[in-house]
This record gives sequence, structure tokens and C-alpha cells, in this order.
Amino acid sequence: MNTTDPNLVTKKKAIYAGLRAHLSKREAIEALVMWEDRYAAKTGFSVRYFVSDLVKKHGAGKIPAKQIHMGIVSALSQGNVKDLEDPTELINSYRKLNDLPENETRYSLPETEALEVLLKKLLLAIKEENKKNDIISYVRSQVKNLEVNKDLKSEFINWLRDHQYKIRVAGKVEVRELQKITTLFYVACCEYLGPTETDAILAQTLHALSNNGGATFTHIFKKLL
Amino acid sequence: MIGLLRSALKGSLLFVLSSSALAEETPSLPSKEAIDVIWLATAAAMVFLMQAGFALLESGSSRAKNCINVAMKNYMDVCLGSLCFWVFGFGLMFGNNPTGFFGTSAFGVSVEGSTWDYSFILFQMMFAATAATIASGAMAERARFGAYLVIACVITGFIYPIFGSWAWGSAYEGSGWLAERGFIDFAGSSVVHSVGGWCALAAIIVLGPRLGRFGPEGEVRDIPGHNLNYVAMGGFILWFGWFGFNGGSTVGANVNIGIINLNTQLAAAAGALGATLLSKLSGKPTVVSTIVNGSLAGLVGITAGCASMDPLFAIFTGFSAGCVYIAFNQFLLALRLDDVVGAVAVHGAAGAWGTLCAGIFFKDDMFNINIIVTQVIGIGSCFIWSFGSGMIFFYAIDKVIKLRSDSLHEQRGLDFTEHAEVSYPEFVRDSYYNKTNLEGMER
Repeated sequence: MNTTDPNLVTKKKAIYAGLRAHLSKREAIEALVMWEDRYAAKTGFSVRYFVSDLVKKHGAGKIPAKQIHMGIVSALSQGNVKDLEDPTELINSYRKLNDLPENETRYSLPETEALEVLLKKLLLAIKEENKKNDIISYVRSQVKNLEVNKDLKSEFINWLRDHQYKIRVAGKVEVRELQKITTLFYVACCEYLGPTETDAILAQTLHALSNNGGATFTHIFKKLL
Repeated sequence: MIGLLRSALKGSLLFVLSSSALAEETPSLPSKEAIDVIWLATAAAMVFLMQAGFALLESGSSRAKNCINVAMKNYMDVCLGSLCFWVFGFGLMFGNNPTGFFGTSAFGVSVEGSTWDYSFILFQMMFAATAATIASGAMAERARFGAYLVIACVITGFIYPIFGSWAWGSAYEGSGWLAERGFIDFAGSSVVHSVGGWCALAAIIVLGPRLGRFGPEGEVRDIPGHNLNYVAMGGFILWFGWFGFNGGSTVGANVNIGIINLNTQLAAAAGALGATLLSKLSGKPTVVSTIVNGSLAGLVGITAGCASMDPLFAIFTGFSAGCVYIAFNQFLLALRLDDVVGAVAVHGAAGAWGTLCAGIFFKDDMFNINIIVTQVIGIGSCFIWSFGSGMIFFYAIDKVIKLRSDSLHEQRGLDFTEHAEVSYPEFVRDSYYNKTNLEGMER
């Protein structure tokens, strides 16, 4: 990720201005480092999640979360950010001083991993090979119409070609986007196996997963299905 | 002698006293209006019970993951339907009708009638709710709850009363162009059942089939209902309610109720037999839904002519209506239309057939070509109006608020996604959508 991207610099300036009104200089820089690591790569930046991460880091009630949230939103919505201070140099110095890598892009979430596990198991539960192939072809033909993150889409297409492929998406993937993939699979199964058999196979797959190592994902399956 | 006279006087006195005492104890006989009101209100309650029959039949025919949703749709459409009919429907149907096409008075807020009027409104309200609830079964398992309720309001407040005014408007303040032509539909084979059935047809076309109902090559897949006992019980309750539906259509205490309900009974029995025999002859197993829907088709079929037919013809009408149900259901499947409970065939097609039979076998004037032509005009206009307006309204509803549930919701089941409920929490152990997983699930 290029941290000198003009759009990112503008965002960074605005967020820094919003943070500085309520946090010390050091705290604001630490927060910006976290923002770079977790949110800068995301196309749709959610202030809510960022502030929630800050609250987790500092502890509930220790920072004025609501005011920070409003401060950032109002700074981001201001048209002219030329006059605001650019914190890039401060961030770089902080990284050097604390021996932090220049930037860390976080890959994939447990949800994507759970999705892979679930789909693999679901396909394994389908006994007839030709039906399995039909289902995969159907999903492949429909996936281009899915409204999901482009990276996720291309990674998923790769996974459809080779189930050993690891889906890795930079930044945060929305659970709703993963849900769309599981739903597409469900629709494909209904089309080729019928709804009754599909429901039975899905129940059987989840049962098998929770008994054989997939139990750690149980709470994630709740989100995906 | 004196003793005899004394005892005679004593006896006469006792007789006079006891007679006057008896006269005081004997209550005055209820008036004809009171009897009419009692019968009509009772019949309305029996028709209301049909909602329970529909709820059982439809939820039993649906999968366990959607059965609460189906029952809730039945419950709410009678609630909203009653209010809509009170406010708009009754006036449109029975109000002063100078054009012969819709009523313009007697809307809910302006009704100031006699005691009988209130019973009549109640009775007609139950009919309107019945027309609406027919569509719910056809649309089960994939229609959004909110969108369905809008449909129920449109049917009870507009589509049903407009056709009703054409055929029955003259029963109260208005008149109707079909009624003036001599259209025969005593209790509503067309007015209630075909209207509901054709609306259901429009709805299933707009909705599309349930996921996986038809395979990629067009093969039909059965999606078994979760409780066939409910289906049978629902059939019995509907059958019972029909005695109020047809018998109550005399709108007062009447000696003809006997023949009306005898015809109703015979047609229902013959309908089940007809459907079963045709199903057997075509090499299919005798399933619960065939028998129950066969009897319902018989009931729908006889509804138009139950007061104007001899029992023998009632049997023929019911038997043939059962066969019409089987044939039309096959036709719908060939068109890849997914009707969960067979409502279009039972109510739409058998209703149209029954209306025709009411004209063909009209007592004292059978096979009169003029009557038959009028019946055909009535059946055709019912289809054009109900199906046509249904298509326009339901398509618009789909565009504006979306009629079809998301695939994700269909996967999870509408009980879960629409109502946050699970119908059998103790028994559904192998489904992921059980009570334990209900909490914290993002809907």
C-alpha cells in the first residue's frame, strides 16, 4: 500500500485533526498507525469500527468515543484540508522509534477461513460427481453478478478452480459479502439437488463440522448462514 | 252437590291461576329478524373458523422452517382484511352502484343500518378475508411477510369487492351488471374462490417458484409439507366451515338451508372421490393433499349452485370439480408454476367449473343456453379482472417493496428471518436454525 497516496494523505490529515481535538499527540499518532494497518487499504472506511477499535485499545470510558467519532466525521467532511497538519512524518518517526514495520496489511479473517472450510465440506457431502461439477459451474457462471469486494470475487474464483487455494483478501471483508457466496452455493445446490436434499446436506455438513474440528468456527457459521 | 260445585270451582280457579302463571313464564317468540341475525352471525363465525382450516392446511403443506410464517400470514390477513373491507370494500361492493361496476356509498364510516345490516357486513367481511387468504397458501415459503400483507389489503379492499359488486351488488343497496344479466353464483364459487384463485395465480407468476422446485431440465421436484395431519385437520375444519359459508349465504333463516348443506356435503364427498380416482387412474399414489384438495375442489365447485341444484347434480359437480383440480394442477406444473397448496387449481379452476355447472344444471331450466352464456361471461370477466388487476398490483408491489424473500432468507426459513421464531424448538436438533442458534444471529 502506498501511504503517500494523495487521497490517503488527505484522509490521514483529516483523521489526525479529528483525533487531536480529544487525544494527546502520542495517542493520536498511535491511533493513526492502527488506522494505517487496519483501515487504510479498505475502500469503504467505517469510522465507527475505527473508533470502536480505539475504545478497545484504551479501555471503555477512558476516551471520549462519541466526540472523537464526531470530530473525525466532521474533519473528513470538510472540503478544504490543505491547512491541516500532515502527520506522515510523525507516523514514520513513531514506527522507526518503536521498531514497527513500515506498514502492515492485514489479511483475511476467520470468516473467510470458515467459509472455505464450510464449502469444502459441503461439496464433499455431495456424492454424485456430475452434480458437484454442475453446482460449481453454476456458481462460477453466477459469481460475476455478485455484488462483493472485487478482491474477494477474484480470490473466490481462484478457489473455485482449485479448492486448495487460500482465499486472502486485504483489509476487512464484510460478513454480508461472504454470506452472498454461501447463499449462491445454496441456490446452486437447490437447483441441482433440490431443496429437501440441500437442506439435509447442509444440516449434515454443519453437524459433521462441529464434531470434527470445526467447532471453533461455530460462532462464525452463525454469521455466514 | 255443593261439595261437587265447590271442588269444580276450586279446580277452575286452579286452572285459571296455573294458566296465567304459565302465560307469564312462556317467553315471547323471537322475531324473524332476530332469527335471521342469529343464523347470519353464527354462519359468519363458522366462516371465520375456515381461517383456522386454511392456516392448518397451508402450514402443514409447508416445510417446518416456514410454517409459522404461513400461519402468521393467515392470522394477519384476516385482521387487515377485515379492517380494509370495513373501510373500503363493503362500500365498493354493496354501496349505491349507478354504473353497475362499483359501489359509491355505505363505506365503513357511513354505515348506519339495522341489526341485520351489521350481521350482513360481518358475514361479507369473512368472505373477503377468505378470498385474500386463498393467495397466501399459493405464495407460501418465499413471499415477504410485509409485502403479502399489502396484497391482502389490495384483495380485500379493492379486487374482491369490485368483482363482488358486479355479481352481488344488488344484495344490498347497489346493483351489478352481471347480476342484471342473471349471473348465478349463490355463495361465491367465482366471487370468492375464483377471485382468490386467480389472484393467487398472478402472485405465483410474479413471485417465481421456490428455490429448487423445478430442476434444470424442468423436472418437478416434490417439496413435502412438514405435517400432513395438519393438512387433513385443516381439510375437516374447512369442510365444517363451508356449511356456514353456503348455508349462511341465504343471509337469513331459511328452509332451503337443508338442501344447500346437503348439496355441500355430497359435492365435497364426491370431489374427494373424483380426485382420488383420477389420480389412481393416472398411476399416481393417493396422497393426503389429493384427497383433501379433492374434497375442497368439490366444495368450491358446488358453492355457486348449491341452492339451485338437485343432489344428483351436486354430486356430479363435486366429482368433476375434483377431476378439474387434478388436471389443472398438472397444467400449472407443466408451466413451471409453483403453487404450494394447489390453491389456483382448487379455488380458481374448480370455482370456474362450478360456476359453469351452476348454469348448466340450474333447477327447472337445465341446459338453457342463455344461462350458460351468462355464466361463461361471468367466469371470463372474473378471470380478466382478478388475474389482470392482480398482475398489475403485484408487479407494482414487487417493484416498490419487493415481494420475494432473499435467497438467504429462503435458506434460513421465513420463521427465523421474518419472526425470529422456530416452530419446533425441542425437535429440530439437526437443523442449524434451531433455538440455540437463534440468539445473536444477524437477520
